[in-house]
Amino acid sequence: MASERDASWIDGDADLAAINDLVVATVQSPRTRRSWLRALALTGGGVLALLVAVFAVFWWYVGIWGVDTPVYWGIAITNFVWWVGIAHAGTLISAILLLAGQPWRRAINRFAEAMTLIAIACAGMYPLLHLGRPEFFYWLLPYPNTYGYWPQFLSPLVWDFFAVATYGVTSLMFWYIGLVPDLATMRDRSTGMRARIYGVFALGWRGSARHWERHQTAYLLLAGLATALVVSVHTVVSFDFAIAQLPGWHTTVFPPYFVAGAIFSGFAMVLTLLIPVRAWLGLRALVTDRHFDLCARLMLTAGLVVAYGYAAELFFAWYSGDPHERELLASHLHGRSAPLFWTLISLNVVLPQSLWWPAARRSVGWLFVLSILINVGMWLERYFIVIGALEHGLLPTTGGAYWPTFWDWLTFVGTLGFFAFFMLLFLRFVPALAMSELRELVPDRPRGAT
Amino acid sequence: MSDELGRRAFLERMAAGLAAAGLGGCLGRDPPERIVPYARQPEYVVPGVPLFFASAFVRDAYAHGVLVETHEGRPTKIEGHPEHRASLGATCPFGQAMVRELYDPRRSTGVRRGPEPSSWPAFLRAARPQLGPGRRLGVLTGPTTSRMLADGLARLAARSPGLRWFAWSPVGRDNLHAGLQRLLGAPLACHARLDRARVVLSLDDDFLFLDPGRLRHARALAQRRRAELASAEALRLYALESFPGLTGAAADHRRAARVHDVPGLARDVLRGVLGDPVDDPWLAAALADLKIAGETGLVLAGPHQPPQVHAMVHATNHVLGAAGRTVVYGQRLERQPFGPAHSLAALVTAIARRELDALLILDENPVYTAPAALGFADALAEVPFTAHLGLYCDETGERCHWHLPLAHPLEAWGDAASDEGEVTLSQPTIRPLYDGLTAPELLAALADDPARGRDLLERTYQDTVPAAADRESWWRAAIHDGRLPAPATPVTTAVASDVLTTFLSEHVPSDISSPDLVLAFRPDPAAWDGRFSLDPWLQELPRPITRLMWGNAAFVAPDTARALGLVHDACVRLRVGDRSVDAPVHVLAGHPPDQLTVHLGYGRRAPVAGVGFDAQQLRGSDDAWSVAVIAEPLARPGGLVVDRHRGGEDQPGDAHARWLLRGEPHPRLPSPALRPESLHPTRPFAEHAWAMTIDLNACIGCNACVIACQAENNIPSVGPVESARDRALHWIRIDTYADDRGDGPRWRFQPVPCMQCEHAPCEVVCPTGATQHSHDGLNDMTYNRCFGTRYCANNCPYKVRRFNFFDYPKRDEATLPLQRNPDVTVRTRGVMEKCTYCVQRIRGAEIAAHREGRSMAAGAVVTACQGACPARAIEFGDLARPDDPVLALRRDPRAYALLAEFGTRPRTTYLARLIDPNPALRPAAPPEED
Repeated sequence: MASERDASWIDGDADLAAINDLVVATVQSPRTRRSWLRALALTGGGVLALLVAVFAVFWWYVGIWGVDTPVYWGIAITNFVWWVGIAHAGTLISAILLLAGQPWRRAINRFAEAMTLIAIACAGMYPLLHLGRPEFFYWLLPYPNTYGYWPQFLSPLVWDFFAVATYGVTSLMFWYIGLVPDLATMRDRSTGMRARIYGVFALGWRGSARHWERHQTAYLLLAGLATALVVSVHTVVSFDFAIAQLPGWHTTVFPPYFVAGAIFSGFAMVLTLLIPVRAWLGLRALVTDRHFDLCARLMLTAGLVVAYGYAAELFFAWYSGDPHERELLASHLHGRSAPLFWTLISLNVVLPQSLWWPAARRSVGWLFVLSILINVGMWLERYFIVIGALEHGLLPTTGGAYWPTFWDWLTFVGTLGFFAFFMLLFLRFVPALAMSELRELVPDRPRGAT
Repeated sequence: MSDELGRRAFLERMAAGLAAAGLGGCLGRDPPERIVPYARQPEYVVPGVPLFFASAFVRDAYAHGVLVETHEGRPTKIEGHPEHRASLGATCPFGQAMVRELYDPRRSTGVRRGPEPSSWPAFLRAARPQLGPGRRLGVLTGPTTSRMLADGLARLAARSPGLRWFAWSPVGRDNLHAGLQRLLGAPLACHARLDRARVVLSLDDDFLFLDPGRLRHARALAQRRRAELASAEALRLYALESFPGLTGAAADHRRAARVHDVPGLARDVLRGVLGDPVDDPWLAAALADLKIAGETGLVLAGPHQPPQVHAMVHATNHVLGAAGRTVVYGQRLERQPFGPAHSLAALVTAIARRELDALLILDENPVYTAPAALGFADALAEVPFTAHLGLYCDETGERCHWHLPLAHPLEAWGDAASDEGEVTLSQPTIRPLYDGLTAPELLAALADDPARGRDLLERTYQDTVPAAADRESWWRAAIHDGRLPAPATPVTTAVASDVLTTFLSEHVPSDISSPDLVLAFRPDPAAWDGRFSLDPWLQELPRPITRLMWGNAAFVAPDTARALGLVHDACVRLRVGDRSVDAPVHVLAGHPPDQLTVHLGYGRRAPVAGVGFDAQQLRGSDDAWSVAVIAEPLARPGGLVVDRHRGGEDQPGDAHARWLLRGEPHPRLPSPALRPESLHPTRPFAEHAWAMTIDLNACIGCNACVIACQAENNIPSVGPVESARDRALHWIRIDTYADDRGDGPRWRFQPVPCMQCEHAPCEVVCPTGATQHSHDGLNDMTYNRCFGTRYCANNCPYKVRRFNFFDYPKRDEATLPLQRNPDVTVRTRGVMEKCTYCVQRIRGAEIAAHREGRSMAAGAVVTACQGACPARAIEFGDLARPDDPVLALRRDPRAYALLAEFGTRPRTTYLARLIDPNPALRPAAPPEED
């Protein structure tokens, strides 16, 4: 992959050793330890909140949430779709951009993959907790049993379970295989217990040519598999809605629209996290403004597809002539759900258009603000899809209203804390940037010691 | 999993058994006297096979017959009595709720002296000195048609000549009786015969809810408005209403009128039939119709209208020639003494004059129901010896020296008359859960007469046993039938013309300057006068039209609300004189202007604090039905619990609850036979293919089906907080649509159970296969396979699936589980449930047919909703039988499927309502289809 080498992706004159030093320092340096501990304590509170919320739903049952008749799915499903969407960026950056031969991905792929894994854990919690009897979640699995039980494979929820679980497992493998050479570096640069633990996880990596060759093959193969999954997982998640016959759910544009939305929100979340982390850990040399620029371009592209999705959904709701679809459309445009609808349009469609201007793409501050707004907008979009459609009945008598309860919010805040907590652990214990891959970006120079 | 549930079910039963043991082993033991099962099984208790006993449901003196379904000695369900003329096999919501009341854990469990537990012998010892010559005992009862009670009081009076009988009911029919007395000069009663009527004008009489003959009327209305009748033959109903009710919704023409405008209208009606011209075009059209109908015309007035109105209305009936035909007069059936000397006010006066040494209150709660202005509660404290017999130790029980537990009607022998005078017997279906006696038994005990209920019954009615008959078998037959073969004889009446002249010259109340704002009182559709306000089944029932649950409200018309600054679901302070009550505001289209209406029966204080506010506080001492009021808006939120299943004013729902004009060519409706293209396989009919049709032309929206379903299918109530979040679990709901075509709102009801779709959207999305199609076309739920994704409910176009958000059945305390139907699974939390077409009854009928080696007869399966329906709007049957009535009904031109365009192919289908407007008052035509 010598052709990928491009000095401009690394600021300054960092050589191979300097890259290693910089990245290893994020794990070993005491410079950020105090702030790290403070942040960990704060987010640990979030984890505790999540534990309380999960305990509560097992103790008092799902009735403590705001779900009611006819809004049988509440913000738990909104959160599920949102987190799954966020989980898209990692594998997209790692796998698709790897296959597409984009060298700049190397600076951010590790970080984005970690984000993916934790986001999947957050996402996976929701549909299970949301069950009336969550203790039986394993009925989604076709497992051997004595009472003739078998999942009903026509249900999108079964597909969904498999899609998300497969995506989670594949992402984990992909992340880990990419991590092995760096764990070996960490092993070599640590002492005592730490060295041994890194050693175990490094699987005896010695950096031999044969190791590298097999590693690259496995990595590429997994990248190919993961690429398919990036598209499939949110497609299947969209089936949860598109297969149903509710107006507002039963829409053929949902699969591409969900995938684009996932990429959109995934990149937004990468920016939301990476911008402060870069400053905090002092990685400006490796994660440059050019990286952010490219992320912003991808985000803009995905955003345009999402905008097309909105347009298509609205157009076909009108064009179908179906009275129920048209009622829902009227409600979106100037009815009960209009405030929410126009908010999310401005957040997800209007504001991202600023990224056409290079100045906006290069303004780290604006990107940070915009990425947060897009995250909010995408959450609202999912709220809108899940709850907006359910609140609107097919009969004038079957409409309803939904208000999340304290426990709904606590669970959401809890998963945010859980997400941040594990991201912090990741930053502290695992090299946040892929050293081995970054080293390939360094142009040939007199070699230093490695 | 099956092990897990088995264990759970086992524990549940163990718990029920322990509860039963705690009741002194009252289960499975027969009452000491002989009682007679209605039919079916000569043996007594066969496990799994229910027994049906004829009994009676009594509301304010008048009875309708019921059959009590008992399982292994537990009454579990009330059905109508098909041979009883006031029931015709149907029940009202109150009647259905009887079993819930029987097992209410808040019932009084024993004799109490003040707050201390005591015993019957102790009470009798204390009470005896109060009896005898020279002692002045007062007895207060409600209105009653029970001869046993009247006999008991007569016997007690023989021992204690100073006995005075007072009677009180907050919602009695005294005005009607007083009116008839004035008009006809005799203590008469009357009942309407809608089955003979062609034109009916209701002057503020919601007879489908208020009348003792309501079930019979609903049936007659449906019969007389069958689709095959031409406009000239069918019954046409005009309704003037001071509060939107079932009758107005059923009417072909309805108009709102203030409660105190009705007397003037009644006089106009009388003048009109006598030939005077009437200005009002609506009334003129109705009168023209009435005059054509002649003796098949009928005018009715609400029981809350003053006696004068009743007199005028029945004078009108006489002028029309309807007397004796559409309205039948007979001897007064209520046995309590009548007139001001026996009223509650007279009782208070007697107490104030120290004319009473002791007071016995029999099954009434005057401390709560008496108008506050009367000061009854304070007067009660003046009596040296007071005792209260009641099901609950209620407000009155708490303030009496003694509280005595009343045996529930399902635990005891009793008698009451229907409005037609048919004597209806009730027999105990379970040994008293607690230490209760009935009023006649208590009176007998006081009179040192050891007779028990059955003896008292036989002694009271000994004159009706034919001399030639074998007493034992005669009584056996009578109790089996639940009624006595003693017909009431009609009385021929006539009105002298000078009486008419007097009436017409008299002032009617509306001539007197009417106040700016009037507050009208009404019995509540769920609480009545407060008697039923503790029943969670009834409380959770969305009231007809208003859809209010769990409480009452101050109803007001939109324009009046604007004028007064009242806001829906905010509070209002109602001020009458120096008394005031804060009430939530319910803005209700179709309510008459310049009037507020409140329902009685709420704000209970004992045995537990109840929901709502106590409107009785505002009623004057003359127990008037309306009073001038001052309404002050308050900013406080009202906290109304309103069911959401009603169409908005902008969504008339014509495409859903359809209606057509009688006798006109119908627009083509989406026939149930219509089968949109589908990729899903069409399942051929198996041996049976169950289907239901609901005739919206018959349905009156009375809610009986909803509560019958609740009793049959072990549906728990979820409480006010959960109801406000629309988590109530009713398997059938009454969708209510209102549209206004310029002549005031018109309500249409549409009962919505599960459609049992042939292509059910719920089935394909269930990840565990917990909802599946059965071979006979049912959409079945397997509760213990459901883990609650709720996807099925999301995908149900009709939203008939209901979810157990919490473990609701676990909230049932103590005795309540005894009410449960053993044929129906009690659902745990976290599972979905919905209408099953009463699959337990289908399987029961199949098993019975199989055992007897025959095929099932048409109509062998009657669902709970179908059985309860007074109008027979619901038909259930088998599409695989060529002769099944359901098949014919599905082919009717009025038949249509709800949301047929979704291709769900529902098995539940509807028949459009027919409206038969007077051509002179024709409303806009219904919308064209296609």
